[in-house]
Amino acid sequence: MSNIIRKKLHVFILENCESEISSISDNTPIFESGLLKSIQIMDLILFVEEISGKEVDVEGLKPGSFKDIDTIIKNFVETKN
Amino acid sequence: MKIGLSKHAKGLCAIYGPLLELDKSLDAIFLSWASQFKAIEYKFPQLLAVKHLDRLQYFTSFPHLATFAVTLDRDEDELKHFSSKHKVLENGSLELPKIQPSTHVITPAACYHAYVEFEGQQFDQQKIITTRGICCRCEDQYVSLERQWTFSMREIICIGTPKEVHGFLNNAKEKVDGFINKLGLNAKWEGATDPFFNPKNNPKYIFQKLEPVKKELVFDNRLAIASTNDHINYFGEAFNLTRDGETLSSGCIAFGMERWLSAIVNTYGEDPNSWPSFNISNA
Repeated sequence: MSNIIRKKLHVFILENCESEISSISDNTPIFESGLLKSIQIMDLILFVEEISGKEVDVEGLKPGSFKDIDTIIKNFVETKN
Repeated sequence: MKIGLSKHAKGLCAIYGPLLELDKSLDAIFLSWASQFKAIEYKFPQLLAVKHLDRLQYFTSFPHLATFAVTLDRDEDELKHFSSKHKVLENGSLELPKIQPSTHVITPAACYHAYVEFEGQQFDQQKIITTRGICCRCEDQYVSLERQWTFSMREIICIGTPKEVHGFLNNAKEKVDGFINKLGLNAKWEGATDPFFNPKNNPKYIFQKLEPVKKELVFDNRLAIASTNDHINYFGEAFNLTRDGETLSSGCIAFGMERWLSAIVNTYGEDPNSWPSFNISNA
């Protein structure tokens, strides 16, 4: 399950990234390295909600929660709720 | 002895005497730091074009804070009528006849002018400037010196690579920390978000929660007297600030001047003789 979501996240980020790159790692910082722009955070959250089937609590977000793909999987996919 | 504060209207205060001297002394310290960064000082206008602010989605993010500059229609008959018939009502308001669509707001933050100033420029090295402005933010409640409709803000702004901006912000923060210790103010840095309108639907608010881009120096756990802001490439993109074809980042440190006065009065009392003395050489 996590691996399918992981692949979907890779595809989403590469499709929405303005740079011409063909692959990223699970630890590449998504915003810090400029893969996505800050304005795209809403799209990423909505996509994570869609593929995980879980709602993201915006008020409960902590610094670094969407740092990279590994962190997103840990915070929003592999959690029980 | 009076501290030198008078209230003119809701959210509007004047300072003079001891408070004004304290303001000048504090600003001299902040300016000396700017000088150490080799910052050029700018004095910007009091008004900012809405077309520039709109590029930053300001009216989406902070419509509740904006104060617009309005002017009357230039029609001579309208002006004659207004000139002779205008009347200030008991509630202090003045009904306006036809007004021109607003093209400017009263500056809500001192640093915005810097990006307008440098629009489209290429920089072969980091650019650091400083400016002090009277800023205007409409609030629901006002407290003298702490939350005013108009207030003074000193800023030091850096435009450069992310590494240069981070270096600048860390260096500036260290200077502030040393000064706070010498002043004996109870203040510490905390992660912060800006007061966005309808925040949950604003990507900028969510991003500020996720990335520690804004920090505030909070006095007595209640009053932000300074802040550092890492804008990443937000202004660089909006105003096309580049180096070798790459969009640059920016960051700033801002000092709410009246709030520093309040922090010192709250710490040392209302007798100016008890206020700490300091100067550029020991800050």
